[in-house]
Amino acid sequence: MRTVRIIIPVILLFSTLGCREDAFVNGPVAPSLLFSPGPVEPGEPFTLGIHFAIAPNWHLYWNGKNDSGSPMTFTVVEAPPGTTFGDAEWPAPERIVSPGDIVDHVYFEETMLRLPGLLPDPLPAGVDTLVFRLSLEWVVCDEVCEFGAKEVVVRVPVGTSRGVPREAAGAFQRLAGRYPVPLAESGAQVAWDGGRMIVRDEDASSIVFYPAETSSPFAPPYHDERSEDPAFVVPFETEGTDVRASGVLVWEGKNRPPAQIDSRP
Amino acid sequence: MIRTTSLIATFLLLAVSTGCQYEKGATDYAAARTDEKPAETAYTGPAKVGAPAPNFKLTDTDGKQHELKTYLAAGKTVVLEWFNPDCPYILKHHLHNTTMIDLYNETKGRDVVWFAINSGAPGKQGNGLERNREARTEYGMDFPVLIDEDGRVGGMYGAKTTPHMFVIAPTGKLLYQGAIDNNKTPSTLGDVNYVKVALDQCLDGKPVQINETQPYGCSVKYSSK
Repeated sequence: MRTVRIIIPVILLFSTLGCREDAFVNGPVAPSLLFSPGPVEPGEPFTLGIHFAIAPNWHLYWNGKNDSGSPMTFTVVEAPPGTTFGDAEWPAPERIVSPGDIVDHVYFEETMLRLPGLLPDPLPAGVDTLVFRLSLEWVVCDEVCEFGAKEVVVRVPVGTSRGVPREAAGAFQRLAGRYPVPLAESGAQVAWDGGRMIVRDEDASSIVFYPAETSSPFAPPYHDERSEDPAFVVPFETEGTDVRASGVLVWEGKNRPPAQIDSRP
Repeated sequence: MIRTTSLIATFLLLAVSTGCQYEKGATDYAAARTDEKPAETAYTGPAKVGAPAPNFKLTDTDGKQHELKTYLAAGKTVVLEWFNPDCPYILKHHLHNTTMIDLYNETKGRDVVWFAINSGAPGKQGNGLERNREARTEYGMDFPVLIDEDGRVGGMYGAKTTPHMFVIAPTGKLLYQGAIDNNKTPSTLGDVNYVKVALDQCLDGKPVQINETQPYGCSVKYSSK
């Protein structure tokens, strides 16, 4: 009896590991399309989750400033006629520095782009299931880089959130805290001193800045502990109205959502 | 007298034909002087547009040595392409499209020399003499692939990606560094080939207008040591 008690957990453990391995049988990225839990009614907003499960040690690229790689791309191939889409939301990345001082902003393990949309009103006549189909491309790297492409689809019954798989709800919940909120909602204050952007915040010592592609070049940021108010300073390489601080502020080790920043002197 | 005049005329013609130019805000380097000697290895950091390109000596996959200054002294314009035969962005331009080969063929007979350089460390993706020999054949590359396993030349140029492109004038000045074109995806070609534009301007004796862009591609697989 005791032997059985030991064997069963071992079998369960191995079967779980087996499932994880199976997810990557076609390559280091397993993409899927998820539909946010919620009612599926005419004229209602909804969110598609373009989810990427990433094999251990591999990474995908953020759509901000990177020295190498390129971000995932998507194209909506099929959606109910009259559906409109907003801009995709990208979660905050992690920074890696590779030999050769190559600085990239990437995702490990999993990531998901949130694509907001609005259903048409009325919905197409005689339709009881909505079909969304997207074409995806990505470059994924570890010690090597690989190109990947796949079409993903989600079918959603009209009327209620029934049929939305449990893993979809899980992914939306799990990743919810990684999407940047507007700076004003973060509680941080931004000021400029010449070409220096100063972010004042009680948790300033934990702030990291991830620049967007449109952000001006800057020298290494630093935490100004001597300041009366704790401050995080980004010294830009030029001064004047052409300077633009654009990107994401992340509070490392703090339970706070990242903040979207787009500021000029 | 006639002989002296024809010698001077020949020299002047040669000087005009090799006069690739670099434009920095249409000022400092408006015309590269042809009496300048090719750059020596006065290297103090990653290569900068408008400054002398660092000299290097590397061996290709056939065992032949190539030194930059030899080609510059012969009046050649030199294109460097950082290379990793298995990187998806190299496949984009060498296998799924023929961006590099087409441009190389276009410049034949115009005193242009093209080198692919592989700075990948041993054991990294795309490294190894045999793999690079195969790739040359597979991709139909008429130009040499130089092996830089210790990454020294890659470091001198600050090469970050494969491909990462550099155009060097016969005077030794770096005229362009950056991307091959304006589409960073691994599958779609851009509609502006920056290297073609830079080469055309340089070979026509005009200033290079877009002399720096953000390169894109796989990271150069340098040694971790």
